[in-house]
Amino acid sequence: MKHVHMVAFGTAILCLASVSAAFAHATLETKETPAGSFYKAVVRIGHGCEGSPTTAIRVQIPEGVIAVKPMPKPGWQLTTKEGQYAQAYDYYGEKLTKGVTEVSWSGGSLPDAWYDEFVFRVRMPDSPAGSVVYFPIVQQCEKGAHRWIEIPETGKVADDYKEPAPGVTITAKP
Amino acid sequence: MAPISSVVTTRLIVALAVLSICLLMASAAWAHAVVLETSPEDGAELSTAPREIWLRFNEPVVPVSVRVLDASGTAITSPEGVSREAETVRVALPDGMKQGGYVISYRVTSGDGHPVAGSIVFGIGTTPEAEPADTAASDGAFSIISVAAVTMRALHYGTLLATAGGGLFIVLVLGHGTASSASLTTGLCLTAIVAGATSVLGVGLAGATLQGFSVDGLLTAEVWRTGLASSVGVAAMVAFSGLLSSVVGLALKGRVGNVALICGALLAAASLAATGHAATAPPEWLSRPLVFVHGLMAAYWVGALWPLVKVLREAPADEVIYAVRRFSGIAVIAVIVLAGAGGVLSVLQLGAMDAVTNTPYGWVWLVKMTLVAALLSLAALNRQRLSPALVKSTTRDGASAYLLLDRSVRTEIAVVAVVVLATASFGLTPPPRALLTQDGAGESRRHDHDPDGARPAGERHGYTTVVMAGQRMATIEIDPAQPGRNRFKAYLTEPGGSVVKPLEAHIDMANPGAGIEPITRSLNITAQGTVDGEIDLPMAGRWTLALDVLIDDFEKAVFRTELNVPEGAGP
Repeated sequence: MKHVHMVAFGTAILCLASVSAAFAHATLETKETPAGSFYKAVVRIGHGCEGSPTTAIRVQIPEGVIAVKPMPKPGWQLTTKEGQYAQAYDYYGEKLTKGVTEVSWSGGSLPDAWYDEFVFRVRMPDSPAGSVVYFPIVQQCEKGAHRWIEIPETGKVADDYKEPAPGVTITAKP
Repeated sequence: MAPISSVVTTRLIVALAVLSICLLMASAAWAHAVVLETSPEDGAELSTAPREIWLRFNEPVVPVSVRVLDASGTAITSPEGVSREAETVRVALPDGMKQGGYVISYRVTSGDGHPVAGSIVFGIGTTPEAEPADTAASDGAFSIISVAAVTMRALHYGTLLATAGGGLFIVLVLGHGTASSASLTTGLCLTAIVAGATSVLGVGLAGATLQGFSVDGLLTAEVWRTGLASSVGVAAMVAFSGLLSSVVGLALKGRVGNVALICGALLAAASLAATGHAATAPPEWLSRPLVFVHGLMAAYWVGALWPLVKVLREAPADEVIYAVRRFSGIAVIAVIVLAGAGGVLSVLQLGAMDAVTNTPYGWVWLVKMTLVAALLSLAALNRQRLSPALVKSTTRDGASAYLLLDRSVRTEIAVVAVVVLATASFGLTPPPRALLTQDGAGESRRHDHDPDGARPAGERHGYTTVVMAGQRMATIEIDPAQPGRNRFKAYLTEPGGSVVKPLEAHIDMANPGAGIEPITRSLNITAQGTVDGEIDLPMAGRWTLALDVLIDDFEKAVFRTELNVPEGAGP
């Protein structure tokens, strides 16, 4: 069912704007970044929930991703949740033991037929090249929700899932 | 989830929107295809057989395999009957479709090249989920196979204990290399052969029981593969190596022979602890060693009986007296340990006192205990009266002490045979501990999962298993685990044992062997945190289940397991 709207909207976008990217899921604009780098996450929302307008976007910050700074958005209320990290992270000589674990933009209304982006900046973990950091996203709508939270099990890829969590592949430090 | 009507309306609106855009941009394909509408609908109940079925997708698709299967899993449509016009795939149906459940299993590729697959269930003249199982027919098959299984198991236990115990008797009582022990070799080799053969047959019977086949299923490789993969297969392999060790021990003399005989006995006892209700009674760390000890001690006692008779009849008087004294000395300890282990196992299995009178398991237990009591009195008689009398009589010719002890030991053998038969019959009935916890979820219950022992007539059929997803555990119950509509229940716990109350849950059921793509059913979440609902397993075979639960806003867990649905109960 959900794919129906992806298709409908994807097709519509193509007709209207001739944009060539696929808008099937909630996605991140930049798909890879070096280990330990600052990363500007642009969450792209291409459709609502079965035709219903999007009213909130909530992003879970995975363990190891620190120094989270979300970008405010006119018409949307920005809130963050803080929590303890599983371990301390070094940030310019400072030991970070807690920080933002969830970012949420709510109270807005993005019609199904429109497109928008939600931005935050983070510092990525010092993970080995090739590993993937997933940002589970919940897209709440006036009616219903999409949960882009499926993290592939071993031997599977995001394409095998209906609502995959967008991921960023870590590359070697430059 | 939105109400059905609004889903349908939305579906139509979206379908129309997509359709109109697709007319403009026919080649656009951005995501996987999805089914918008089908005829018949999923779960539909039709009064008459349709002439064709169709599936309408949101975009043009290329059918790879679209088949309609009946409840036996046979495809009733041919690939030539599949036609496609734009986004609709049609399949012509043959005439004369019988009443019963059917499955439409489809696999298509969408414009982006991704395969899209699923299944739709419908029924003609019935709900797709079939009539209540025709238990009369299947129980007939079950009972033949269960009688065969019990006989086989009893024979296996008896000969296994005789071989292992005979070896122990040689090592501990007679001494390896003596004339008396040499006279036992042929007999013990014979029991070893029977024990080996019955363990092999037991594997086949366990496989047939698991697959839901009758005895003639033993001719199929599938049954043997299943049996071998079960705990019965493991037990058989352990028993086999034990028997081999015993036979080698009989052939070799001296210390090596002794070690091989003892190894044989230990492996034989270990094989008993590898399968069965008793060995898997919680807590397993206690029950498995107890079954091992119980088996080893039983082997010593039971296995000594035939050698004792042989010695009584053939050996010179001083050797008889020596053997009887030595045996008796060890037997006292063996019997105490045997009874102790048996007692604790009984408590674990029965759970409560009234289970003895209320359950079939309890009745079998009562029979066994009565016989054991008789056996113990005989043993006591032998030890207190007959053996001392034997020692007193100076010559063996015409001495009534020999005759009396011989008769008594032979009676013991007869009673032991019945005790072994009773023990083998335990496998027929679920232990009361399983019944006690039937509705108390959370505990790992093995009975229905236990390949050992066929299901008795009239018993509650079903399937219980425990599946892990990461650190989380799901205790899954499927009842009756037969073709048709089944009750599904799952209970989820965190590593610490706390209950997971999911936000949403659904299950996908596929049967890759029969070419059935996943059938999806959403499940309810109860107030207690259990997940339940009705699921459709339209036919027998090996089903793969994926329980997909939403733990919290940001986390999902998928529990995967396989289920063997036996034949014979479907419409």
